[in-house]
Amino acid sequence: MRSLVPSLLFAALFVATVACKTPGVAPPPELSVAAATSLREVMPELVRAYVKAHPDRRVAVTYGASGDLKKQVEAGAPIDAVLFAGAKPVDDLISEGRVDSASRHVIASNELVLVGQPRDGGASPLTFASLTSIPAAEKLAIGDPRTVPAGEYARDYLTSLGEWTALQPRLVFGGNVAAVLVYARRDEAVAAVVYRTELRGVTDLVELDVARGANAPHPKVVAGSVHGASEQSTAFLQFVTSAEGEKVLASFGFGPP
Amino acid sequence: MSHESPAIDARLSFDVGEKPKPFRVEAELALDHGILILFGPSGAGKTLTLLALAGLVAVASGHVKVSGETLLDTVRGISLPTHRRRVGYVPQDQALFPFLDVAGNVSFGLPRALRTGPRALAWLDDLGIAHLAKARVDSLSGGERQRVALARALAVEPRLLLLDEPFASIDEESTEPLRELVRDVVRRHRIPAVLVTHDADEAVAMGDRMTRFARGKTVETGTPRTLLGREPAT
Amino acid sequence: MTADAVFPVVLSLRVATLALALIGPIGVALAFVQARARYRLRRLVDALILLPLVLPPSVLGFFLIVTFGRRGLLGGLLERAFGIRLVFTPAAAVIASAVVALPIVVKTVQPAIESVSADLEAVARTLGLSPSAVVLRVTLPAAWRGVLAGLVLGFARALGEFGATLMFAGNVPGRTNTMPLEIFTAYQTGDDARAGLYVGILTVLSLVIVLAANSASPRMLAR
Repeated sequence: MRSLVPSLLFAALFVATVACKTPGVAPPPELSVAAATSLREVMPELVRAYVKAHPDRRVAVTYGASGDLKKQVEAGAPIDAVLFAGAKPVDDLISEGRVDSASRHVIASNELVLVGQPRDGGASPLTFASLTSIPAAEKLAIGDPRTVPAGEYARDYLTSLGEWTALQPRLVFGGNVAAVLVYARRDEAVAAVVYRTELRGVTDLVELDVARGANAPHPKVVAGSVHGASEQSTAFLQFVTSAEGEKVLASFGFGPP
Repeated sequence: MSHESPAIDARLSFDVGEKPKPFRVEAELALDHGILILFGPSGAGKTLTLLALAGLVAVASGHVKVSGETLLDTVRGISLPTHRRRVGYVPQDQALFPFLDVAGNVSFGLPRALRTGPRALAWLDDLGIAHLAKARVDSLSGGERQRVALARALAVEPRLLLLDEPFASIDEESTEPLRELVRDVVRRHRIPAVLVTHDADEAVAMGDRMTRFARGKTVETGTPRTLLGREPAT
Repeated sequence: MTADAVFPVVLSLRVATLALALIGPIGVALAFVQARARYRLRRLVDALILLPLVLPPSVLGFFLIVTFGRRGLLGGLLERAFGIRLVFTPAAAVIASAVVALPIVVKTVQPAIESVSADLEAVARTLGLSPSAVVLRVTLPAAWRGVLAGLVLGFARALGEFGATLMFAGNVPGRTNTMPLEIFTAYQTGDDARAGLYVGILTVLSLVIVLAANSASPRMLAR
């Protein structure tokens, strides 16, 4: 019993210290943005340009697969704006009443490509149409269709090519599009299906093919403001869709909305 | 009844432990036949000497000959590993195997084929514990444990028996019958024995020869009667 | 339950069993060495054995990929020499589980072996047993409670492995989706019913295992 008193004292002291707020000026309110993993390179630039134009604003970005981020918003995470790699997750949030339908904007487009290690000479390179020729022991990496828009696009496109069933034993899923790219870079997968923008600055992989034709997907980057978010969110999204924002996006390989 | 070679002819010199100063044992043992008593206060090196005879402790220099067989000779580079010395050992707390019953303990050293045979049973009879064959080790009295330990050591027909304070944890009443038993078994099966004790009465009752230990060294040898003051020392 | 839903359960049990078949003997042998041998690097080996217990799973996963990945130190060798690839296979899940189970096995078995009286082993040797026979017929049987507890707890840990498995074996449905991975995926895709099913199975299994281990070695959890 005697050893209990000092412990309680220590615990009380600890809690009191932790609970103390630092006195002083309250920091400017932060805008919390959830962005798809495919935007991880371009977002810091967009934020920098935005903050340069509005020095009193602060933006914090969290990245993940669009499906994962959608779940976080649904669970009530304090997110003000979303930028997803597809329309569906945003539209789902709108129909759930979480995202303001008036704030929905298509801000950019992308292309689905097949990437892989550069192989000199010899066999002809892989294409989307020739994927079933991959040896049984090798792997094709795509995003998890259940949570990654790039994976969903890949599945739909491969299904339209009649290859989806045949490719099942060779597929490996990445939790987000960056993970898919890494599988290809590590050579654990002989090829991967990612966005063309993923190849920017990547020198150890080459684009083998691009999804084309009537069934080719048209990946879009779609944004929206979460209900109850501050008007800062509207301001930020307006910036992203402005000429300057579009210029930044284009410089990172994104197509026009 | 006496063999051509003496039962025990041994000289041992070794160090044990390192910090701060190693404990040095210098022992000379000789026995024609029967029971040799190692006598002295605790910490004098008696148990270490038993362990060295069994090959469980490394010996720097010396030799051990049992009934003419050389178990150790540092000069000639001979040192039989423990499992080939055929030396029976009963430690102070008997060290019975708790995961086996009495019969399992006694037959432990026998080849697998013989473990359930008449040989094991014979030893149980010999030491008066046949009725305890299926008993669990933790249900035995001190005297019973000692009998099991002896039977186990004897079942493999050793050429030498080492007993470390065998009667220390036995109650008064059981001690005498047990002493009789040990003397009887040793005599009947003609197995020489080394018995460690610090009890003078025990030394006189059990021993044919005695060696006194002090601080790791053997300081006198003779008969127990002589050394313990019944007659003038030689 | 459909075949597709049963698969993670069967896979988890198989992976944990194989992991234990791999690491059980190694763990017991290591426990024996650490309990009995005194050698210069002993403390370092002790720390290395404990490492998977204290390192975050992401660190372990990283080490495994760097070592056994196609471009890794051993992975490249394995592929060139034997055509063996580990990433994205159930074998990778077995290895990840084995690595995290090892410290549990060793640290549970080691004190059990240490508490086996040296006298028991001494007597066994005088009875004619070679040193290896002494280990098999005396040391291990005398320490059986601790050995059993160690193996059982190691199995439970192997069953629950997640982080390193996700990184090293990947989440390949129908091949490497063990129960912990499947729970994570189900939660992420909003399939709470599916997640709950596996959570229930794993919880019950783990409870049974811990109860079994506790009764084999009653004082172990009180340490």
